[in-house]
Amino acid sequence: MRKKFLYFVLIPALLIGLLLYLFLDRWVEAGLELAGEKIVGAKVEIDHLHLSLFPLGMRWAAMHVADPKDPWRNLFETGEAKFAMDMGQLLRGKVIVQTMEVNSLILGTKRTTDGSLPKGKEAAPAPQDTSTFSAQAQSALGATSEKAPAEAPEKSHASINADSLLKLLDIHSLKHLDSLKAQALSASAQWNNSLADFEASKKKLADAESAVKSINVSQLNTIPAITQAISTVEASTKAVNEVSTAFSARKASIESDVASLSASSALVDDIAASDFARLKSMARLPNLSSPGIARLLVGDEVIKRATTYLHWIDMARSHIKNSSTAPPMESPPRMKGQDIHFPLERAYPKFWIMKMLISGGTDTTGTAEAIRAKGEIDNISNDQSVTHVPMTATLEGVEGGARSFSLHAMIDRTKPVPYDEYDASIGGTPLAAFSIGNEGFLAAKMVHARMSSSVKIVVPGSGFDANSKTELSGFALQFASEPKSTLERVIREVLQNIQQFQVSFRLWKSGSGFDLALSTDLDNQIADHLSGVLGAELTKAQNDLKSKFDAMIGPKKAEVEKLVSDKTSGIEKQLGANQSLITDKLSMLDAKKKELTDRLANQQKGKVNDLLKGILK
Amino acid sequence: MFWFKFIRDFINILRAGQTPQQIAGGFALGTILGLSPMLTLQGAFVWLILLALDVNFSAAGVAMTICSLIAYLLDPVFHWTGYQILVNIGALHGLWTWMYNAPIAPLTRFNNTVVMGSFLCALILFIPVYSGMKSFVVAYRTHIHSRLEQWKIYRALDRSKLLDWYRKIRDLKG
Repeated sequence: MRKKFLYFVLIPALLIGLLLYLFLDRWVEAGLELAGEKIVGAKVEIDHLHLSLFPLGMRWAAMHVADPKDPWRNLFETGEAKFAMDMGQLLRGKVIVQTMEVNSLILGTKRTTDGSLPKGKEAAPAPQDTSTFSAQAQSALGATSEKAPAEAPEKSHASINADSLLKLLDIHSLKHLDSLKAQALSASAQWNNSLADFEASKKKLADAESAVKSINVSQLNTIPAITQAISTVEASTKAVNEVSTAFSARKASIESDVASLSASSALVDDIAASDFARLKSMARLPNLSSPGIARLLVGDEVIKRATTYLHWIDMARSHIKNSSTAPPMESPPRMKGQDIHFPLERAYPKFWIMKMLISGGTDTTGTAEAIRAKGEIDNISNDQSVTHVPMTATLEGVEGGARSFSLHAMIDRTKPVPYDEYDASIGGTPLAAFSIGNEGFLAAKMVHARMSSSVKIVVPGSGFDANSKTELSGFALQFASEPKSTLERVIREVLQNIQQFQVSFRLWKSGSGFDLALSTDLDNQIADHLSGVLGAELTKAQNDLKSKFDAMIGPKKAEVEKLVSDKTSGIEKQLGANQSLITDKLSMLDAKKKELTDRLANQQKGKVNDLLKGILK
Repeated sequence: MFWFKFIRDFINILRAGQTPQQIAGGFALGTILGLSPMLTLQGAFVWLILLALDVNFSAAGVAMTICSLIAYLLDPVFHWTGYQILVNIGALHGLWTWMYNAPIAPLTRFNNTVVMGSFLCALILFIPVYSGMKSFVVAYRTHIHSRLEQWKIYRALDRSKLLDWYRKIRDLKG
């Protein structure tokens, strides 16, 4: 062995081994904290981490994970946690943990230090991924958030300036009427040309008629004379048929125009109705239906909270993925390469915690406001297609006997299409503030409220369906300003006389995007109050608006409809008369031809008889 | 000065000192280390061989430096080669699957496209690099250096600052 090898390899290796022995725990602790902070976005602190070689495992005395949204609270903290790793699998590069014990899991404890990351350590904000559920929901529901009525209904009658609104309104029905009028006049001009052409053809009909009428059948006694007359009739029939064919083509074209005008005319009412609906929307008359009230009351807050929770579902989707054995060729950064994964024969993924037992602990000092959680999380792995079991979690917790929560979750990535299911309930949770209404209408905060809520979420593939029931109780209302309208006043009266109310919502993803259905048990109560107080005023305001609208489009509508009606009925009458004329002429020609044909037959029969008589004599 | 010393040692050993085999061995092992990404089991193994065998360190250092630059430039080629070997050659899937499931083998990071592509290229190049370097050292010592000295351009350069710089590096004392 070379001396250099001894001095530069062996001795440094021994020194490194010694350093590892002395400082490995701290390095691993720091590494885990750093990795955790990158994932959570807030401070992660691990106390007294210790790695043991025999058996190979790890334990820590406590872990505190700060809430990135409230850095003075912990998302959760744990007491002692310990687990052992499978040495044989570790040599294969796999971290397999049979059972991990986590003691004293407590949610939402207060911190004594700020848990936010220093500015420099915070991860750069990732570009907005529009394919996430939260982004899709935000985009779809933000756009449909209920707008508050701008004017109080009792004032609307007086203050809505219908003339101004009508000036601002882009009235499609007027444009349609103008277009219909132009179409009718243009068609009418064409029809007149067609009729003029037919008038010119009438001479042919008259000529044919006079030629045929001049034939006196009774005076035709010879076969050549009769044959000559039949030829004359056939020539006349041909001339009339030519006129008839040309007329039929013109008639078909005119009938098509008439049908088109009639269809356009029938659309006028629909377009006018649509115009009026937009006019009502511009006037912002309140929607007194139950869904409208629910959206006005709690829509913004529910959408905000639902979008927040969707971030967690997105996180589960993005961090727990399906695996693929033959990935497409990527373009990794230089010198990084792409890892190709192969089937695992021993059914062990790279990382697998088979069972995590969680106990809430019993020490209640300083955690009066926090929830102690206990339960089990099974099969946390990086590749469920290898373990063939989904990750499941069953957790429940209580706080001072008043506040409780439970969560059952299943995150299934064993099949090509991911499937997630969450069933959670929370009871007696004090809410810091629950916003009601929005900036423009009934801006208020519900304080000191307690919330009990249950939610069931199913996320199959790219689908989504969440059903929730929430009960708010024991609250006090703080309104931002005096009521601006009767609508606000009525809702205030209803809210001030209740101690609790329920909100139900369903958020689901259909083919076109996210949809939200909201209802509260106050909806009918508020709707009834509103109908009583505002119904008459609202109806009057709507009627006034309608009469102004009708006055604007009514005369034009009547004028155009009369024009279309006159033109179409006139042309239809004219067409009928011309059709009768042609039909009469053709009938007359047919009769004359039949008369001549019969005469010819008789003449031929007489000739034959005379010939037979000559032979028999 | 560390790298000057490396270059000086390398230029010196081209002229005299260690055997051509030692220089070529160091250069070839340095080529493997330079072309392949660090932190792999086979990389550690090559380091051990380099340290345990009596081969030239300076040659290895120069080779590592040059080949690291080449590896950076050829990274897309290594990635493509590794991908083809790992994914598109069906006959080898059994071997990769066995290695993927075997103990220790995953520590070689053989399933990474760049590791596989670059290591394979380095292995293929090992013998040609070794033979080529050995022949070059022998040739340099026997006639290339003396021929170089007879070239007009060499003599012109001999009086230039470039060669002064070269000599300074060559004659640096460590």
